[in-house]
Amino acid sequence: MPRSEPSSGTGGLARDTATDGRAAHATVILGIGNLLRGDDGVGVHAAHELLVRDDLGDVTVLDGGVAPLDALATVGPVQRLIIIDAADLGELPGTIRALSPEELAPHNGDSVSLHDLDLLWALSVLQAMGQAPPETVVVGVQPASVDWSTELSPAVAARLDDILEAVLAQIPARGTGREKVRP
Amino acid sequence: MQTNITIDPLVRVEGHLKVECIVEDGVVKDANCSGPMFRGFERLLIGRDPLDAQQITQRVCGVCPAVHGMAAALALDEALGVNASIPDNGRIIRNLILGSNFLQSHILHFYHLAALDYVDCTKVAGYDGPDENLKSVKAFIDRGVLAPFVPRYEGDYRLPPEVDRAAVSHYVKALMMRRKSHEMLAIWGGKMPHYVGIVPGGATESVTPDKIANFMSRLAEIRTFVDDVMVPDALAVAGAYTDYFAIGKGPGEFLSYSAFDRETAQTDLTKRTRFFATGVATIGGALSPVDASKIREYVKHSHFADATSGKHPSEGETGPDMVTGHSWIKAPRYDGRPVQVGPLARAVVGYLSGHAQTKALADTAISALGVAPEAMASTMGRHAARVLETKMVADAMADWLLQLRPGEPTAVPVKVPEEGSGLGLVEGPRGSLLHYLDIQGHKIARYQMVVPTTWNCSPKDDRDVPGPCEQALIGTKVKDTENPVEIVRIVRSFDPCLACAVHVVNVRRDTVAKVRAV
Repeated sequence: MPRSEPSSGTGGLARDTATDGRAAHATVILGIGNLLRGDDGVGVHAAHELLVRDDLGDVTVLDGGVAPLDALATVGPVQRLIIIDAADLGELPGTIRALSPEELAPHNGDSVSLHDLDLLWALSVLQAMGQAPPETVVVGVQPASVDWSTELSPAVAARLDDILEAVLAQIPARGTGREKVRP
Repeated sequence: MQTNITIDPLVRVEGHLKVECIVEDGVVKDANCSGPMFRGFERLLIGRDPLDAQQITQRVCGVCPAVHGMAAALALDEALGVNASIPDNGRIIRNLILGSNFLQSHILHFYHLAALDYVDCTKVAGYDGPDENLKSVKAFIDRGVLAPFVPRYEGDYRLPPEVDRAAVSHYVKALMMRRKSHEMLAIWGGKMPHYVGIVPGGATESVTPDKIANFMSRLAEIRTFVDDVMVPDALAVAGAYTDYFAIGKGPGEFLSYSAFDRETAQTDLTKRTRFFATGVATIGGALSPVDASKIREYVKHSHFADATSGKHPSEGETGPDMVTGHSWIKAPRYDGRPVQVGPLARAVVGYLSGHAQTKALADTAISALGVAPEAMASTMGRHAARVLETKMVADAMADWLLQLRPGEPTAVPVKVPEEGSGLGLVEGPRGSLLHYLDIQGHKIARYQMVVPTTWNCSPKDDRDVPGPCEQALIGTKVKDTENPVEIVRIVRSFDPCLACAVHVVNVRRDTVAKVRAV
């Protein structure tokens, strides 16, 4: 599965007094997206499913909503970051794919607006601060509709269990060695 | 490996603001602000449990959830009949949550969104000193990745290299200060973002000495940062770009609903004692109380049926009509006139009201910069007002924190009535926010919001009077239409809560440059 290379500057975490010397979280699962925009909220829906699980071990689950950087800001250092987000993969709705940050579209900068402190900006800021998690993977889900709705489309809702499986497969200790991400 | 995968920014963008300028002989002759995306959340609320509004409206935006939650809670307080009985602890916790959001938002705007208009971050490339933040940024830039520092317009960077480098180091430090603000909000909000700690009737987190101490230590760090770093940086930028005290003036009328309740016995929010001053003021010195019944929204230039024009938000409709207009943003007017909202508006209203903290800070800054008080109504004045307000709110929060009483109640119980209505008026970081809610049969029958950016970036109204940002742009000299730095600086000084697409159009209306204000 694609993984990002360890970033060179993670030692910055130790410098940051904001983290008050807290140990790094082994794994943080961050669901992001707008709950009001149909399938755009798939990451948040998935995070909510995981938040009520008690069998995840040393895993912190966050509902990042439409402020992913802010959600990360409150937890301190992170060893492995698994992001769940809607992604335009050019595939059928409900398609799931694990991506490295490098596979995401290059950041063209024009999305740095206030409504759009988006994933790529958040990651680039963490890199600039030397605080990007050593491992970052994005589990992207192809949306069917991002119209105004608090519900997932049937096509994406039907894949929710598969999305959770794909997310948890990114945690090596849990892994069965079997590649669980499938199109 | 598939390389061309896009996470389309539009997926998470609530709306893009488009600003079109007609430039003739190097001067902006006309300007049009448009919001090209339909805002559907008001309709989405109809038929729901009213108590959901406080949570759902927070999901609208990743930067302003705190104030939307606050405005919804105020509207619900009234609709549920508990607006006069919020316990002091609940009132103060709400203020601390909203205050934390003011701090992170103003820090974000100054350092991460606006500063790059004035600070040349490429100066970091030549850095070989010991500053850890700069070394980190330099290593990042050396890898050839310039985001998040691009795109930008070239030229017209006037600060000395050492000031530029200090500002980039502060860019990183400011991110850490935002983290502190988020942690502060999370202490009382229960989670970040999209907190759950404010509810109709008060707040949910109990008050303990531990929470007060945790909050206090973080606030102390932020206050030190604001005093020692942010205010001096703002003065340095303002001092190097004094011409921007004469650029981007906008209409001379200002609105503030105020915010941060000092009591809740008064149920009329325009009369409630709050921390900021409230009123409608002109730069000429006139000051009058806010009368919420004078707010109307016009839609001649918006994609809404013209029959819905000129309505008060309590009668407002969200009936799309693509045939008419060019924008999804309505044109709110106060007593028929466009008004500026935001930190500058609060500063003008506060100054004329004799608000002690506002006057002291403004007088100090005006004298340090050697500008006339009237010059604060400008691009640079908006930035100065925002930074000074950061200090004012941070200092006040330290006092509020000490007024909390551990063990005492934070909320009163609420019951959703068969029928009811409520008006939430509050100031957010970007300005005046109104939520109106109507309950029928225990469900939401109508929900309307008038948000700060609709005041500032509204299109022309039914009498074709331009909105505040449009007025600020008209008459501006643009030295280079390929590089319209003046326009983006003006637009950004309003801190619009939308992505901005700026189209510079020459007199033949050919688009000569299409750029985004970031």
